[in-house]
Amino acid sequence: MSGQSTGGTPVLNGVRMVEFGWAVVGPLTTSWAGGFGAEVIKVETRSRPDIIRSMTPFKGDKVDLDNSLFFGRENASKKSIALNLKHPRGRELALKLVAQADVVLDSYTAGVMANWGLGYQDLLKVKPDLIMLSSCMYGQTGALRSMPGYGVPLTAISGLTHLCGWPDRPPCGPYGSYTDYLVPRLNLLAIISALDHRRRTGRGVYLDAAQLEAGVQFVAPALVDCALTGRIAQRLGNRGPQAAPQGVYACAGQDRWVAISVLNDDQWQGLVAALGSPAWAQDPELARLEGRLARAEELDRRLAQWAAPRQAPEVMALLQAHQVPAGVANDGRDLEQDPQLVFDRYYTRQEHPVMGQVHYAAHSFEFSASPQQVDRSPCLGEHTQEICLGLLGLDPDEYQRLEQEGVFK
Amino acid sequence: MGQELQPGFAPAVGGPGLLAGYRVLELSGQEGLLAGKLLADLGAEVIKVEPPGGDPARDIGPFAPGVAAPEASLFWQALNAGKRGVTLGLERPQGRELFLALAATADAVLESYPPGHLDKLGLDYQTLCQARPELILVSVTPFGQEGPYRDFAVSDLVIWALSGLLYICGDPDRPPVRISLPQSWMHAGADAATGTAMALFHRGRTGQGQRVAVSALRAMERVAYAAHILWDARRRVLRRQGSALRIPPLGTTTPLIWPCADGFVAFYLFGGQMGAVSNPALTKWMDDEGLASQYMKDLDWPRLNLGATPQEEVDQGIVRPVAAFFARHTQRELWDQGVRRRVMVYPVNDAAGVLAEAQLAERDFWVRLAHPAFAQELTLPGPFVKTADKLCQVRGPAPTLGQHNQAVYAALGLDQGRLAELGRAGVV
Repeated sequence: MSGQSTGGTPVLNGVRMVEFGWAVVGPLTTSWAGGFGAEVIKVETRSRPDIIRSMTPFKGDKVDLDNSLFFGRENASKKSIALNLKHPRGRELALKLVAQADVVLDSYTAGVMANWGLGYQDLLKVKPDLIMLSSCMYGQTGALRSMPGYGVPLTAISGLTHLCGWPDRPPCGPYGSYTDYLVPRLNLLAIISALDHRRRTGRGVYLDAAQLEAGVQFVAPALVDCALTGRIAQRLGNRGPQAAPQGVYACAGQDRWVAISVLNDDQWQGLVAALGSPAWAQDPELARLEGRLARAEELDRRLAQWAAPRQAPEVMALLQAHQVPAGVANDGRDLEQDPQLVFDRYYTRQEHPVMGQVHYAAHSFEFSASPQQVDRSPCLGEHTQEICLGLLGLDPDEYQRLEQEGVFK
Repeated sequence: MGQELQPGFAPAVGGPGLLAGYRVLELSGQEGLLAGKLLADLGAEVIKVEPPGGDPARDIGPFAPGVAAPEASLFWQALNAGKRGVTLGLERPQGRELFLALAATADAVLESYPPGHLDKLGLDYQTLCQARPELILVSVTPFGQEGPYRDFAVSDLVIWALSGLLYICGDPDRPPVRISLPQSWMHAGADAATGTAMALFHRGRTGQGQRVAVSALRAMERVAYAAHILWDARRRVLRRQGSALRIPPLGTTTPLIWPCADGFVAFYLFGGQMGAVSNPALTKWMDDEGLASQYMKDLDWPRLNLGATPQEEVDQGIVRPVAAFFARHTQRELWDQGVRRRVMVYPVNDAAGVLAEAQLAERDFWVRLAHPAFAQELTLPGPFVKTADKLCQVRGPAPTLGQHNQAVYAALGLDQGRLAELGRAGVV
């Protein structure tokens, strides 16, 4: 959004984070921090690459660990060091890295880091005021602490899947690994708060971040209700108790849709005017929310009929001119050209050495006096040598020796 | 470094916290509720500033039966826990004056008015900074503060639509569909809390305050990750697939959601290494009950390439026998045994299912709070992150309307008489 800063000091300038992450939750948490100026170092190896490096889509359909746009999008603004943590010297270098870091993040199942000799207690010995966040499915304690999982079923166990779909059908759930895009927000909040706490008290902290306990925050009203009254929130399609009409209506073209919500009586009058004040809409019963809720199905039919021959952007523009909430259901192509996202310069096209020109997305907020800068994602181990010779202080001979020993494999 | 807390800040509320000592004024409607709630969990003193008639979010259901407005909204109770609450009519000159006096004691103001509205109230950022130099102002809005959509009317559903997320959710033979509990302001609210914490950190290091602008559109676009990258990589439009995944090159489709004896479970077959975690153990489990197909027993699971296996072969050999097996068992049987056998078959929980999760009880997750308007205790989700010394925790119930007027305004030097006067004038 305009008004964002291009100059100034990034808010996380001088903060160093070491990421032992995989898939989405861990990597996205640190990627956002990188955009706001943190130096993020991702630890991975070719013998144990981050799994989303091998996930579609690939540029030009070419399967290669450095060619996944999925990996790229969630790993902007960080460096990659290849360290084989099963090799004693690999572990040693990881410890040297942590000794010079402010924050360590791991997103493995509970116990994995400790098995490598890189648990919180091990790391404290080299960095007494360390901030460490461990983000696994169920937390570091409890019977499920080492139960594996991933975003799709976590969305289900968190109560979100049940609420997505049609009342007359099984739940369909939101697309993909929904909680993977919820949990990192709370992870980053915890990390930043801990950094400020350390700034003020000198003390580090261990953050036990259970993804389930983050996920259920987003259905909190339904949980409070159920615990108190026994009522169980159900999926409602696109309807809601606070809006009528409300729905997603087919427009002209193949699979084109517009979303419309009428949240109050003023918006209803706006809608009536936008529709050209048809006779059926003059019914005084419809002037009130209760009346419209009672006749939601009829209103859905009317709007569907009205929208069907029209272009979705035209419907949006017309209704917005009458202050009625309406929006095109943007598809992947539309997003690239969406006027607001273009205005925001939300996507930046950058040159990646393997993928070529690809888009990266910024985080959702901007500061007025501190820039956000999104840099392209790293190739696997791209910064191994730079970090070893620089931050870790190895001399070139030693680096070569370690490389031959397989420490970077 | 080393000192407990920097001087001059608000006292810690409800025990220690990562953000203890900060005071945040929350002027938002539903858009910023989660932001303030999370900051309160982290120990900031969050003061919810409501219009004298109550915040519009108090009118959002579900409502508790037998509890009178304005305290009956459980949406409100869930997202305002641990905040303090005052009433204040900002449109009145005296209200504006009082707000500036309050702002002089604050570290951050969180607001969600339409862009430009604070300026109209005479509470633009410069004016606020005159009251409190280096104040942080965080705005949570649908589209940030500027741009072609700036003045658009929105709803949760409309933000889903514009973000690209709606288009990829739902069954192919019906319109795209959202989650029935509003989510846009949850994602944007969490980000607003992070933006606030970052700005506080920055101010602590540099002395510089600033504005933070959050865009719900951008927050939700992030969730629609796959739509944008598929277009960028292959110039292909991703379409909704219901509760199933289609894998190239053959487009072989397998379910994500399966019926069981008393509900639904989430399970995905996966090929390759990911599938090798669960599939051999599932085969063994099914075989123990005589239900594994020969195809499953013979399969070299790490080598399974789902997308390259014909649909009929996958259906016949795997999907049908697995579906028959799941249909014989209840959700709890599948989940409990699945944990024991490390098969990632998860329950599709409704609210009651979430409340019954043993892991959450074992971790002492749930928080029970007495609230003056409720005969029974309220149960709320606990903290989103655990630390030693509970540096993140739910601090108390949501404030009743104007509950802390006396305490907060008295600290500004207003005496009882003046407060009563402002009450009669409809300011508080």
